[in-house]
Amino acid sequence: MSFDCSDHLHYKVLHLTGEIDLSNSSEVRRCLLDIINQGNSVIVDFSGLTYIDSSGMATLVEGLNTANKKNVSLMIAAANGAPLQVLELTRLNQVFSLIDSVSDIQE
Amino acid sequence: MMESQMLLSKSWTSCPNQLSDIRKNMADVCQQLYFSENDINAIVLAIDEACTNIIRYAYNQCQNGEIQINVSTDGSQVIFRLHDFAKHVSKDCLKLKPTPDLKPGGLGVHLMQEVMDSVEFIHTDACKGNILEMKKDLPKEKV
Repeated sequence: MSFDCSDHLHYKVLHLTGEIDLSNSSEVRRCLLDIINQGNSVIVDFSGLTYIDSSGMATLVEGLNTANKKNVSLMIAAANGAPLQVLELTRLNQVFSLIDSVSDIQE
Repeated sequence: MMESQMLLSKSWTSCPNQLSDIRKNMADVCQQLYFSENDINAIVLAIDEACTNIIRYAYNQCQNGEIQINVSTDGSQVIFRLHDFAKHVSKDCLKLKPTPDLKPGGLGVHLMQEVMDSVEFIHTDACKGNILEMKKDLPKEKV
């Protein structure tokens, strides 16, 4: 698993690549909460993500709750395959704002 | 009904770094049984969640425990038995929360119940630790 951050308009984009599970979800959590706690809206880019478990989803839920408290937004982009299935199985697809790709967000 | 056929019997340590290999082994078994790609993704997720719970709660993050997974089929279902050798855990930990809420915890049990046709602990006095048994109906066209 790897992740990196870039800018898109006034959003921070957190690009996730590979598999997120118990072995590495705490790293993602630290990075995501850092971004949000600095007052940034964030798009979590799933386009390179091949697997995410409940510890990863819990990280995103915590991120969304924190974003709501900070009055910033958190969106998920390009969820497909197994990660999209996890969103659907947990019904979190009804909770998160899902977009097809980062470039869908335009000024 | 055919006799039970063992498809896989293998052990891993209770280290989070082992989860990726467990997922690969479970996906390989499910492919042999002609599950669809969506079903394989879901079953692998359910097993991963069960192993994560064993690591977190049964072994309390101690990484030198053992997780033994036996996969078998009786011709109508695939049966996953996950055996840990930690202290007994309460059957209540498989109970779902009454209402879904936006909290980080509890998603793993929800996923296991959602994906599998049955999920239950088998406690025997003769057996050390816990055995979690999860069953999934085989794809209809291949039964």
